[in-house]
Amino acid sequence: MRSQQSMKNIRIFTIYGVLAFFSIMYLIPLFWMISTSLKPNEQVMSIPMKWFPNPPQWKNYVDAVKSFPFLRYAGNTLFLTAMNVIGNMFTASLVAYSFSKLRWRGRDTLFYITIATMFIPGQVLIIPIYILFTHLGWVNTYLPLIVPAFCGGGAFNIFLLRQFFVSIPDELLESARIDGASELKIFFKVILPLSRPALFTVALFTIVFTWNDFFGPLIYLHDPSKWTLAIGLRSFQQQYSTDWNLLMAASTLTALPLIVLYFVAQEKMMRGFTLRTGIK
Amino acid sequence: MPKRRSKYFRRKTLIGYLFAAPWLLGMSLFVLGPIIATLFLSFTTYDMINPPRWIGLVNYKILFSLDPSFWKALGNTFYYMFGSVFLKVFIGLFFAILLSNALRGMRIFRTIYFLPVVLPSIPVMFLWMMMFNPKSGLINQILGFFGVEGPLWLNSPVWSKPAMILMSLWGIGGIIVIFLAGLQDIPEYLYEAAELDGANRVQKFWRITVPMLMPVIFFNIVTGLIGASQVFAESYIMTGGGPLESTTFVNLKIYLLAFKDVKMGYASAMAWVMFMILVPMTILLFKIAKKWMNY
Repeated sequence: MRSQQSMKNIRIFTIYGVLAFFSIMYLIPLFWMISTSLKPNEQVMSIPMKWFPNPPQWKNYVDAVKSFPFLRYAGNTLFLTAMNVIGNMFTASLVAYSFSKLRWRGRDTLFYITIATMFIPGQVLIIPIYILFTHLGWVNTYLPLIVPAFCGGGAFNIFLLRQFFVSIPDELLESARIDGASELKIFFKVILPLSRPALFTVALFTIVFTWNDFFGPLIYLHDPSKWTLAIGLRSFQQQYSTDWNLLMAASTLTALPLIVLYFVAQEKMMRGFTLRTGIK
Repeated sequence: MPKRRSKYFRRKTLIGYLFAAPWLLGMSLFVLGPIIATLFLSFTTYDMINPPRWIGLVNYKILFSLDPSFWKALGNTFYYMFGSVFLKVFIGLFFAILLSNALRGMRIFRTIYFLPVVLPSIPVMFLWMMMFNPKSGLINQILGFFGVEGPLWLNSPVWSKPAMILMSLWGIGGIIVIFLAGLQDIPEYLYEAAELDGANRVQKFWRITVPMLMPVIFFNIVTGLIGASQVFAESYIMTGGGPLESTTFVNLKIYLLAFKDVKMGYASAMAWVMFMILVPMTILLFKIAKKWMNY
C-alpha cells in the first residue's frame, strides 16, 4: 500500500514537473519580448545575452509610439474590429436562427453546404473577390474588410450560434408565436437575450481574428493613413530594421489589448473554443 | 383548407429565406461564386486592365511542365502542413492528458499554454525572428550553454521550415483546449470497468482514450491541415520565401503572382490546383475517419 502511495506521489510530481517546465518554455518568448522592449539598443543583440534590461528604458515605448503613426493605426484597427464584431454578431445570429428554429424548404441542404464551405481554402476565393472589389471601386477603402461581416458573418460563426440555438427549447418560441409575436420579435426578445454566452464567444473570436488579420489589410489598404497595426508594424520593421527594442515595444503595445482581453474573458474564450468541435 | 395550408408553408419558407438572406448573399458572393470564377479565370490570361482572354489549358501546361518552382512550393506547403499539424496533434494530446488530471493549479497551466493563441501574429513573428537569430538569438544562445551549436534556422534552407513549425507549436493552446473538452466527454465508467478487468494505464489509454477521442483527433487534424495549407504571413514577413525558396509556400506564390505581377489567370490556375488537392484530401480523411469511428 505504501509503495502504491509513493508511486502516486511520483506520478503527480512528474506531471507537475513536466507542465511547469514547458510552461516556462511557453512564457520565455513573451518574457523576451517585454525584456527586449525595455533594453537600450546595444543590449538587444549582445552576446552573451542579457536576461534583464539594465537599466530599463521606459522611453522606448514613447519613442516607438512616436516613430510611426501608432495611435492612428490603433484607431483604424479598433474601428475595423468594432464593425466586424457588430456585423458578425448580428447577421450570423439571424442566419443561425433561420437554420435552427425556422422550418423551410432546402434549409438542411443549405446548412450542409455552409458547413462544407468551411473547408474551402481561402486562396481559391481571394482573386475573384479582389477583382470584384476592384470593379466596385472599394480597394483602398474599408468596405472590403467590413461588408463581408454583414453578409452572414461567416460559416464558422453561423455554425457556432446554430449549435447554441438548437439547445433553446422550441416550446418557448411556440408560446410566443401563439401570443402573436412575429419571428423578428421572437428573435430579438427571446433568442438574443438567451444567447449572450454564444454571442460573446463570437465577439471574442472576431476581435482576435480582426485584430490579427494581416492578409486582408495587406491587399486592400494601400494608403498608409488607412493602415492597421499589423501592416503598420511591418513597415515600421522595414524602416527601422535595426531598432529591435522599439519594434518589440510597438509589438508589445499591439499585443496588450488582446492580452488584457484574454485575462478578462479567459473562461468564456476557452469554452467558446471547445464549442468549436460541436461535440457535446 | 389545403390551399390555406400551402400558403402558410410558403409564408414560412419566405420568412426562413429572409432570415438566411444575408448568408445566402454572402455565400454566393464570397464563396461559391468565387470558386467558379477562379476556375474560369484559370483558363484565361488576365491582367486587370484588359478583359480576360481565353487561352484554354495553357496556364495548366505551364504549371505542370514549365514551372518547377510551383512543385517546390507545393512540397514546402505539404512539409509545413504535415509537420506542424501532426506535431501539434501529438504534443497537444500529450499536454491535454496531463492537464486533464484533477490536480490543483491546472487552470494556471491552461492559461499559460493558451495565451500565445490570442497574441497578434505579426508581433509574434518579429519576436521569433529575433529568437531564431543564429548568433544573438535566444534559442541558439541557450543551446550554446549546453555546448550545442545551433543551426542557422531561418537562414538555412534545411532548417527554415522546421523553424516555422517550431514557432507554430507555440500556438498549440487551441488544440489542447479542444482535446480537454473531448477528454471530459469520455464517460468515467469506461475506465472503471477497464480497471475492474485489470487494465493498466497504457491499455486504458490505447483501448479507451484514443478510440473515444478519435472524432476530436480527426477534427483537429482536418481543421489543422486546412489552416496550415494557408500559411502565408510567416514566409512573407520572416523570410520573404527564402533562403533558396525553402519557405516559398503556395500561398506566397499565389499572392506574388496575383497581386505583384498581376497575372490573375495563372495565379487562379495555381489556386485551383491547390483546391483540387485539398478537396480530395479532406474527403479521403473523412472516409478514413469513418472507418476509425466504427470500431
